[in-house]
Amino acid sequence: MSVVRVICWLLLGLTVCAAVGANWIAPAPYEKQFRDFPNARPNGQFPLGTDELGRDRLSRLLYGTRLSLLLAPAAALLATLIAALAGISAGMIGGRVEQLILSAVDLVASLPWLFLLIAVRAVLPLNVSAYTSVAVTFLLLGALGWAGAARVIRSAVVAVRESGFLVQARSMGVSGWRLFAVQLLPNLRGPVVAQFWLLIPLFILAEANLGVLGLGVSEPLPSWGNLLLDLVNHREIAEAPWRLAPAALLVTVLLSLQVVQNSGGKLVRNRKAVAEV
Amino acid sequence: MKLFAGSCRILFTLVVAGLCGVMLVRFAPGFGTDNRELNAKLREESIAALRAGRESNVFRIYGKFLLKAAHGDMGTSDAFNAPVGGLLADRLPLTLRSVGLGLAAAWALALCIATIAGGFGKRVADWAGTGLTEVLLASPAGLLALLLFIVFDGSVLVPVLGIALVVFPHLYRNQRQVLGEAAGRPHVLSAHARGVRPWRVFFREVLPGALPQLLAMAATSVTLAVGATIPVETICDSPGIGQLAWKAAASRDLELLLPLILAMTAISLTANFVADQICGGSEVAVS
Repeated sequence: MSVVRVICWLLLGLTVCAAVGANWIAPAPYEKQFRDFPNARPNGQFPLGTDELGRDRLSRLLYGTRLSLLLAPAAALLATLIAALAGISAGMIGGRVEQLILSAVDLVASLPWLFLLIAVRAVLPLNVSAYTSVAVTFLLLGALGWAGAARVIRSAVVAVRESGFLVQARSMGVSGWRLFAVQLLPNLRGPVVAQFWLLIPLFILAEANLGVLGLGVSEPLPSWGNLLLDLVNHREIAEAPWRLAPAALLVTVLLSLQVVQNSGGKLVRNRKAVAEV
Repeated sequence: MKLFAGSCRILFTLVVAGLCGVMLVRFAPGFGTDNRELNAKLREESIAALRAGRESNVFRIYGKFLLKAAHGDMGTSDAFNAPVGGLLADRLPLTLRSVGLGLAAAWALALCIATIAGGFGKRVADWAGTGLTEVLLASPAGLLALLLFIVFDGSVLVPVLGIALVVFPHLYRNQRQVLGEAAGRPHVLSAHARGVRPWRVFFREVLPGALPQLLAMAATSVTLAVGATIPVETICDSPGIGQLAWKAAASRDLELLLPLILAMTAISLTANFVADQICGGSEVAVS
């Protein structure tokens, strides 16, 4: 394992631990306003300073990290489940059902992702409570981000369906349901898990973009997206560069995820090559 | 014949996308409410007349929309209090210019680095391209636009650069892989072994072999660039379609949002279709 990969794993581990333990690590609750210290510079009491409402930036960053890091995988899980359902149905049933599902996939995939996301977000009420906005944001990501994954899973199903061992199992009289549960599903685990991991950074980025546009998680709940919204007052960044901390953490975590994913992909390819030899 | 079939498919997809959009709008919370109903000066008969004139059948709503759109009337925006057609016509040229220039910059940069890294196997270029790609892929488009806006102090070129930086990593990854594979083919290695000049090998053997796959990325890059216009134009305060979409979403102006999404879908689908046609043509030429 290279040094870079070890560092990335360490960074990811630290970030996840800090996010999960935000209740104990954070100096203050994320919504608590210290009204005597608005826009404070970093000091002993507030390591990353405070925002214009006097809320501790470090606490908000920790709680925001927890929200983004826990809910992006949840949305990815939902999207992967939808994709698996659509992909397996298309691959196994075939015929008109397959055509219909592929047409739906093409339709969703042909729409620019952010346009689709903000259009559907706008259809839902905008003036909702903070917790509802979290649910809406991540349900939307999960419900709209399945198309690409469904196409990959369908291809995997078709490949397995036409493989020799499945033909042999059929010829030996293995029934449809048993064939599906014992032969097909275990062979789809790899592509499905890969799609899940690939969707996580995509959804973290999408939430961040929605947050920057003010259409993501609502105040007072912090998330990486709405913490970036603070940077829009760009004239003050030169005087207060610590405000870039959420952006730096977001980019670092996503970079680490990419390195880890790339190394995971290489490991799988190497194992396959060894197995083939 | 292919052209006709492709056009029909685009039209059909647009009609289905429009129907899905109208269904979303119809079943959205608050559909059919009118601010005028809150006017205390209105009599009950007037309010009843307002409600009676409202259509609730999805297919009739969509039929009316299509009929009006066929006559050039795409409705009126509530947020801007202006015809949607006029708003689109005003803002589309700026967005098309930003997207066009951004795509040109992204393609030029990606192709240059990918050619040096993949076509000629230069490691430094490969590391630089891969490093830049990884960092850009890990940065939200809104953040990139914001940083560019700060660095270039609100220059008019910022939307172009923002779109270019969003599209570049996707293009570079694809081009690096395609050119690398093409450069590793047996006949290319054989040409190198025979002492043919590297540039000659690249232009005569590597590039023609990789061309269909490179062109296939053109459509995807258009879709990516169009999607990037929303955060980039919003952050840079550039009055294009992306900013209009954001304003429509933020003010829940569904009358404006639906034609906007259809226009963007039409651009993406057309780009896909054109890329398919060019790819088909170039594959025939290469073979």
